[in-house]
Parts: sequence; C-alpha cells; structure tokens
Amino acid sequence: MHISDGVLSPGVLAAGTILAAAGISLGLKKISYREISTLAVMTSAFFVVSLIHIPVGPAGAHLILNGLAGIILGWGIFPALFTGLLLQALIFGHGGITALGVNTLNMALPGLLCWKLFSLIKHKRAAGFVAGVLSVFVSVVLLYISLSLSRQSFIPAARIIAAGHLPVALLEGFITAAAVSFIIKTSPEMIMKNNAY
Amino acid sequence: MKVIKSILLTLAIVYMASAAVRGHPIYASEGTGALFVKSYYDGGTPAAFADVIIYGPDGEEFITGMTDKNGVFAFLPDTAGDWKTVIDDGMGHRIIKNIVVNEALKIDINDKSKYTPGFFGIVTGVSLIFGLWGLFALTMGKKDK
Repeated sequence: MHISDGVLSPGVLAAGTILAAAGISLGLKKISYREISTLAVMTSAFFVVSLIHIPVGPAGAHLILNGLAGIILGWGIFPALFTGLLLQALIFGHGGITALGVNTLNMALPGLLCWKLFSLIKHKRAAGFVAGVLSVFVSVVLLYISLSLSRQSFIPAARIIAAGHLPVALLEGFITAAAVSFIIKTSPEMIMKNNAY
Repeated sequence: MKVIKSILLTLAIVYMASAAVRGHPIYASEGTGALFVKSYYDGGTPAAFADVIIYGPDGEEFITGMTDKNGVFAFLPDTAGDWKTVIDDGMGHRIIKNIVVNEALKIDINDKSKYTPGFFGIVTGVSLIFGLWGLFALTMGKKDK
C-alpha cells in the first residue's frame, strides 16, 4: 500500500502533494487542544499496525486502520497519517519520501469518507464494520488510480492488489467494529463529538 | 542421366543449406560465477516476477529481466565498478540496490541498511510521534493563553 520513490509520474506526485498539504493544514486547523493526545495515540497505532505483515496476495499486506482513524479523528486523519507515513519512510524505508503526499491522500481520504458515512449509519457497530471494509477498498482504488495514471502497464497488478486486500478489508472491518463498540462503552464522546460536525 | 542430375542437384542443395547454417553459427557453453540479487518483502515473502533493470558502472542499461519465483535475478558483470539494480514489482514497490563489483568481478557484499529495523525502530517512531504532537500541543497551548 506504500508507494515507493520513482514509481509515480511527476504530475501525480505534485497533485498528491498539493491535495495532501491542503488536507493536513485543514486538519491542523480543526484539531482542538484536547484532541491532540487522541491524535498522537491514533498516529502511533497507525505507525505500528502497518508493520504487522499479513501473508496474503503476492506482496503480502498489512492492516491500515484508516477507517478507525477517520471515525475518531475526522479531518485530523490527514496530519496523523502524514506523521505516521513520514516516520515509516524515514525509519523503515516503507514508502518513498517524494510519494508521501500521494500515500497520505490514498489512506486519509478513505478515512475521511468513513467519518462522514459513520455519522449517517445509526447502528454504530455495523457502521464500524462498513467503515473498516470500505476504507481499505477505497485506498486500493486510489492506489490503482495513482499507479495507472503514472503508467499504463499497472492495471493487472492493481487487480492483484485488490484481490490480496480482500481478507485485510474483512479483518479491518471486524477490528474497526470491535474498536467502535469498545469506545462506545468506555468513552463515547471520543467518536460522538467528532460526528457532531 | 536424369538420375545423376537430380542426385547432383540434391547434393548441391544440401551443401548450400549446410553452408548457410555454418555461416551463422551459434554455440552455447555453460559456466558458473554469476552474481545475483534477491528481493523480498517484509516477512521474507520473495518479490517474485518483478521487473529488474541492471545499470553498469557507465550508467548504461546492462540487462533487463524479471526475478524468478524466489525473487532472485542473476547476472554476470563484465567490468568492476559501481553497479545499480532497480527492482519494481509494478504494484508501487520499488527498490534501488547499489552493488560494488570488485576487480575479481565479485560483489563486495554490503548488507548495512540505513534503516532501523524491528523493535528499536518501533520505539523510536512512537517516541517521535508523541514528542512531535507534544510540541504541537505546546505551541497550541501558548496560543490559547
């Protein structure tokens, strides 16, 4: 899911960087002082969970948790995921530095979509499941778009990524549903407050 | 007479055909000593059938190809110097590995990674995340006052 340096065309990289920068600045503006600790926790969760390798598909996959991050952080998902991705690139070499904008956009945008969707569905556990599954699929679609806009020959490979990510999407759905149900029981204001926007 | 003629003609054709073959010979000999690069993902899954481009010390393309099912690509460098290997799996993952080939045309293996792996990397990352957001909170706190 992390695109490396030298894969994308300059146009895609520039567009991704500009859109991600807009998302990050909007996210930083919308965060309140009290939400920063939650943001740090979600950034850490995203940073760590991406390192857990799941052996599916040709390249293997990993959890993303962008659906859960979106539900909890709203627009704050942009600065959170950007920080996580930056450190993953610097410390582990996962994803390229030049592709940071595109990678942030590809993972944060589906999370933001899930945040909107989550407020529309009444049954919150079901909403969590849908958000978890959908966030992975939309990320895969965005990855596919980024790759095929850069080169023509990427189409079959992108199909493989989608196939490999089906179990991850389901797993992510269950984890997000479980996390949402836990949050509702323990500190519901964490998600309800955000969804009042 | 006709029989002799046709025998001569046949012999002539066979001779010309064999001469044509001799004119463009191709031979094969086996050998050892190729060098290889192996590419793999996190968790050790091999990057099978990924595109490979090897650049020689002159910066020119030396060979292109594909890794095998074990993520291995072998080649035989012809000069000493700094070689560059680019492996791209077509799914957004790409790695550039620089290889130093010495005078004996062997690789000086350098497996020192510039990245911090495993537990130490995780601790570093999480610490930095909390540190960075802590700093952000500090600047925000000042503004609120």
